[in-house]
Amino acid sequence: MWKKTTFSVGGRAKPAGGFEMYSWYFMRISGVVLLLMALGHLFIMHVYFNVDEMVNWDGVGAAEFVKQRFEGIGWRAYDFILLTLALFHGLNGIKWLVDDYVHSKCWRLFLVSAIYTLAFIFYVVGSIFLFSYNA
Amino acid sequence: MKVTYKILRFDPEKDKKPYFKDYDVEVEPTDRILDGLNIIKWYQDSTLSYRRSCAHGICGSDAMEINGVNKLACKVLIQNVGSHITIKPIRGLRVIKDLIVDMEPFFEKYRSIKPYLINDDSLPTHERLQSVEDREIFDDTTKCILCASCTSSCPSFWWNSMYLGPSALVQAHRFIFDSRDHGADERLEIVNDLNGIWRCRTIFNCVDACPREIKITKAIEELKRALLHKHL
Ligand code: SF4
Ligand code: FES
Repeated sequence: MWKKTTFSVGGRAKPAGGFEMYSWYFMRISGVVLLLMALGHLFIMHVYFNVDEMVNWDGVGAAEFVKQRFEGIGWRAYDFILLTLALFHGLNGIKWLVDDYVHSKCWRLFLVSAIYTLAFIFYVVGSIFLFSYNA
Repeated sequence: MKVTYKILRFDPEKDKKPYFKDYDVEVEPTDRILDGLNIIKWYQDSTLSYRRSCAHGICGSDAMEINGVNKLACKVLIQNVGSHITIKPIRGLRVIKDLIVDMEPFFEKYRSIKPYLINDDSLPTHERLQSVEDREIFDDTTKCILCASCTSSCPSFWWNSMYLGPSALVQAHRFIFDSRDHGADERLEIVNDLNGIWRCRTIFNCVDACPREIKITKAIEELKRALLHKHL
C-alpha cells in the first residue's frame, strides 16, 4: 500500500514559501555578480598589476601592494562584497545539496546547523580582518 | 528482424528482488516497442504485466524506461532503438508488478495543484472566449497526457519523492497562465515551496523524456518568474 504523502514538509496544508524563493533569486543574482567580480579580481591582480612579478620571494612586494590597496575604502568594499557573496553563494549551494540528499531529520538538523554556524564564523572573521587590517 | 527484449521482471508475491528476463522476438523494423511486448505477452509469457491502452500516444499509460530513457512504448519504432531492447519500469514509483508502477503518489501531486477551472464569476450565458494570443501563452502545457515520463526521469524526484515534480508543475502552468482562470495566486503559493518548484535544479531530463515535446523547463522557469514578479 502506498503511504499517503503531502508534498509539503511537515505536512503543512499551505506551504510557508517565501524563503526558498529568495534563496533561489539570491543564487541567480550573486552568481552573475560573482562571475563579474571574480573576473575583475583576476584582471586587476594578474593582468593590470602583476602580483606574481611584484613578489620578490620574501613577500615584501605583495605586502606593500596590499597595504596600498587597503588605504582607501573602495578596495575594502570590493573585497567585502566578494566575501559576502562568495561565502553565502557557496554555503547556500551546500545547503541545497543537503536538502536534496539528506532525508534523516537528525542529520539534516546537524548539517544545516553546521552550515549556518560556519557561515557565521567565516563571515565574522573575514569582516574583522577586512576592516581592522591596519595598513 | 530478430530482436531481444531484456525486461526487468518483478512480482512482489513471488520474487525477493527484480531480475532481468530475455525474450527473443520476431518483429518488423517498423513495429513499435509495444508491438513486441504484445507478442511476448500473447504468445510467449502471459505473466508479463504492463499498462497500455490507446496504443497511439494519447492515453499516457505505457511510459517505461527503454534503453535508459523514458519513452512511451507505443511511440517508439524498433528500428530506431536497435535489436537489443532493455526495458525497465519508470523510476521513483513503487513497482506493483513488472512494468506497472503505483501512480497514486504521482496523481496525488497532480491533484494538489488544483487542476480544474477556478472562476467564481457568475456563469456566462455563452462559452468563455479567449483570444488567440492569450491561448498561445499556455498552449504548450495543454499537451500533457500525464504519462509521468518527466517526473520519473527527474533526479530531484528520485532523491526526494516529496518533490512535486515536473508534470504537476506543467499542469500548474497550464492553469496559472489561462486568462479564463482566476486561481493563479492560489496555485502559485502551492508551488512556492521547498518541495514545490524550488526543488527544480534545471537538469532538463524532463524535457528529454517528454513524449509530447513540451518545453517543460521553460514552463517551470516562467512559473519561477511569475512568483518573483508577484513577491518583489
Ligand atoms: S509533461 Fe510530458 S512527460 Fe510529463 S507527464 Fe506530461 S506528457 Fe508526460
Ligand atoms: S498506450 Fe496510450 S500512450 Fe501508449
